[in-house]
Amino acid sequence: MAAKQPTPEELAAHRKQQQEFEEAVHRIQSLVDNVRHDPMKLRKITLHGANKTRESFLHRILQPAFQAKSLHEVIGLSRQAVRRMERFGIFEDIKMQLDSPHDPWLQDRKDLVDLGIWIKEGSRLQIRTGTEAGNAEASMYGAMTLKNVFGGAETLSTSMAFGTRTSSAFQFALATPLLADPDKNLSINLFSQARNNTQWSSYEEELKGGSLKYSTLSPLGYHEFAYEGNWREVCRPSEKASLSIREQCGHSLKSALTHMWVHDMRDEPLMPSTGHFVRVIQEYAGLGGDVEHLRQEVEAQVARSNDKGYIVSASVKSGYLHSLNGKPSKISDRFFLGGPMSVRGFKSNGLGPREGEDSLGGDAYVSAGVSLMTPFPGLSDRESFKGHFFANAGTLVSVKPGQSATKTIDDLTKAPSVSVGAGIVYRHPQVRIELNFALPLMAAKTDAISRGWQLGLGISFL
Amino acid sequence: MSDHEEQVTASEPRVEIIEETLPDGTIVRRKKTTRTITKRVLTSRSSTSEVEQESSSSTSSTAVITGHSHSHSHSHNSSQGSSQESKQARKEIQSTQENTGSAVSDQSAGVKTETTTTTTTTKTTAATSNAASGSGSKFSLFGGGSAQDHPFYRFLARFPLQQSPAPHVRPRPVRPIMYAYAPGWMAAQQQESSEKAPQIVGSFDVDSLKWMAYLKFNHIDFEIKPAFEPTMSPSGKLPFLALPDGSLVTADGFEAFVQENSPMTSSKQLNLDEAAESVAFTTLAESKIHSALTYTLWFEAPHFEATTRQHYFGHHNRLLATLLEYLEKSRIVHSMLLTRTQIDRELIFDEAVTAIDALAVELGDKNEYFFGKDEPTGLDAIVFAYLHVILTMPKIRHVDDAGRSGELARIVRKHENLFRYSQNIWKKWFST
Repeated sequence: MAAKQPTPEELAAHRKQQQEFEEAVHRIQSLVDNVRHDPMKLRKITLHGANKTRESFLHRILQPAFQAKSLHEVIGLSRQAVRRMERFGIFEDIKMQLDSPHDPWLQDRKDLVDLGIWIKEGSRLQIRTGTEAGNAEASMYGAMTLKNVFGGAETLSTSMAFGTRTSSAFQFALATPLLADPDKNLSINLFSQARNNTQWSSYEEELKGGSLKYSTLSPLGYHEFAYEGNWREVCRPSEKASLSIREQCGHSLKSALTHMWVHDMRDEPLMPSTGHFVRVIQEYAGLGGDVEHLRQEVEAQVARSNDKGYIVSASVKSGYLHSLNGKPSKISDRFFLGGPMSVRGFKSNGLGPREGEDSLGGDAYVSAGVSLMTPFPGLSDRESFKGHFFANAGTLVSVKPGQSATKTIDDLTKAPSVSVGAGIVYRHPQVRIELNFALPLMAAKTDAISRGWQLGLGISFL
Repeated sequence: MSDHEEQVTASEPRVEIIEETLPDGTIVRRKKTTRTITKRVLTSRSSTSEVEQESSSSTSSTAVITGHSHSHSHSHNSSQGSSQESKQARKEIQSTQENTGSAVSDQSAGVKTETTTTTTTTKTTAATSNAASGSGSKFSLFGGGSAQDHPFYRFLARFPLQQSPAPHVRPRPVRPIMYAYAPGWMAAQQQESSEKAPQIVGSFDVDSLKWMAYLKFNHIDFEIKPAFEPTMSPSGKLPFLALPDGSLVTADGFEAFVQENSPMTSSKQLNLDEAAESVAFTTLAESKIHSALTYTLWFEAPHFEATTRQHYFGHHNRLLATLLEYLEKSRIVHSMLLTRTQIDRELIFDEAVTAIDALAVELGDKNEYFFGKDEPTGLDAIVFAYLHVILTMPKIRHVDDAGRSGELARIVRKHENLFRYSQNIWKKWFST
């Protein structure tokens, strides 16, 4: 979901509104400061403008406000309820007002209060088309999103995209918040994709499948639990495809449970200047289907900066694929490494086991990078331009089923591919663009090396 | 060169195959295509001297560039290797220029001749160190051959400073490998009983068995790798042959491959009549017997459930197999309906009976192979493949089947000579 860029007028209006709101609140607060602990109860909530939204859904959101026992709590809880409503993204404009009861019989009751909420529901249908660029991929897409389909902030979206790396993709998704909690989401996805991997390995892959995802926030971070069923076909080997790629051709069925945990404390994901980030992905495949494996991936990043605009960031990524049925892994499940957003100075996915012109992927990898961002000479006042010095290292190896852990670790540490370089980084609001001059220092004989200038365009960098 | 006439003549490309034995024992087979393009420019301006000079010097330099870039685009060697490569390319150019030297000397005032020799060197043997792919083509972006000597690129070419051995090395096969549906119907059960891994022989698929037989008949040594995914083949069909030099041979190319590589002389060449008959019987087998066999394999439900499915889709997950076999069945129905209006079992089997009768008559009682030859021919490979697949098909004991899936085998067994013929070939060419 690309954020809509508000115009300056809108921003100004919004700011003014917010200011007014805050002033009003402040006034009320000072007014009620002396009576804040007086007993007070919320008698009723009147909601204006909710035509499409289900009552039971709204009921769940607003219910907690009735628990208030004092004026202070009434104000606090009703504001919380309103903020929760805002987070679903289906209401455009929310106003609230506390008032004494209009009921003539209760006029003199000073301990009762009514809450009025005025909302405007956003339009249900949203159609977007456009082009996207990211993670070494350019694509055009068309998407149709139906918001608040069943009146409970459910989102139904269908999209299709055609791109350089994903030659075609169709997706259908239905997402709904659970128990009217914006932090708990359940979604069903159906998708069909054709991926063109011929840039680094002479094959294409067709994927069809579905997934059921549950995501939630915990004090530790964002969690996502998913079940995914995938029918993959490695197909259309190009003319020069190596035999190892040809032997990978064919169908396979993966049925897997995954868990992702993201702990993101960075100030911004594209070019963080402070904070840290950890992501752990675990996958167990083997609930039916013909692949059985455990797949782990860990990623961590730390960034620090000083007042003069220098940023140091370091990141480590690692993954391990463990086959459970004693069969060698399939290329669709393996890891790939190298490229302008991974280990720079090498071609995209050009590290690790290769045969001829084809990257075969590996079962275990470690990659690490250190970057120093400096103010760009002459443009030091522009935060989005930076000079960039980096050192990257990475290694990707295959693991035979039943291979001992010491052998794997030995393989991983034996001969890393290392590169250093310098360049410039530009941070566009949606994407980070790097132009680096990279020199590989150490490489395996078969690594696809890219000496010299290298352009990287993407969201997540090593 | 404001007003001039151009005359371009191109000679027929000349193809040379050069075999070289390197000190480490690998045999490098090079295919060299030489094509001479002669360009005559008739210039009316007097400033020909300059142009002429340029052209005569460019004959050598352009040739080097083209040769150079070709050598890079075809073989990707490490930076150290690439300089050797370019030297080789240079040598080749020089040799070709000796051949075309007369064309260059054909210069006179006002008429100048430009000769461009394009040498394509295709290394059919992949060198053991394939690395730094495409790095060469990057250099050629900057003004061709001279870029290599630029100090900046010499500096760049030093990287990586340290090279470690390749993490994945696939030993080059010694013999051609045939990726085919294999082994035959019964082999799976035999394999279970005997612990030692037997050599894979035979196939349950007619196309695979046909080409196996054909290669064996021509004394070509190859090994069989069981494969069940037709998408892996360049033609989308199994079998195909992977040669030690990295090239692939599909069904269309088997015939030519055998002719090039068979150690046999053409003593068993068919005469014109026999060749015509051979084509006729091949067509007969491939249309009539094929339909009956396909019907038995795919549409006799008990047989399909018990054998065909396991052999073609047994390696898949059950769910996936169900989906894929549905797709395959509908594909077969479509292909059958291309040549007939309806799939009528009785009609198909009647046709098969006629065809098998005709084959039995043609073979005769005394002949070991068709046309009374001492050595089997292409027709033998095809007929054997059908007969063997039919005769070795597992018998189904099922109420719904009622002997229907065994009908084709019974038809063949009626002809003692066909049965013996199939057995003999199997014993002689496959069992050893």
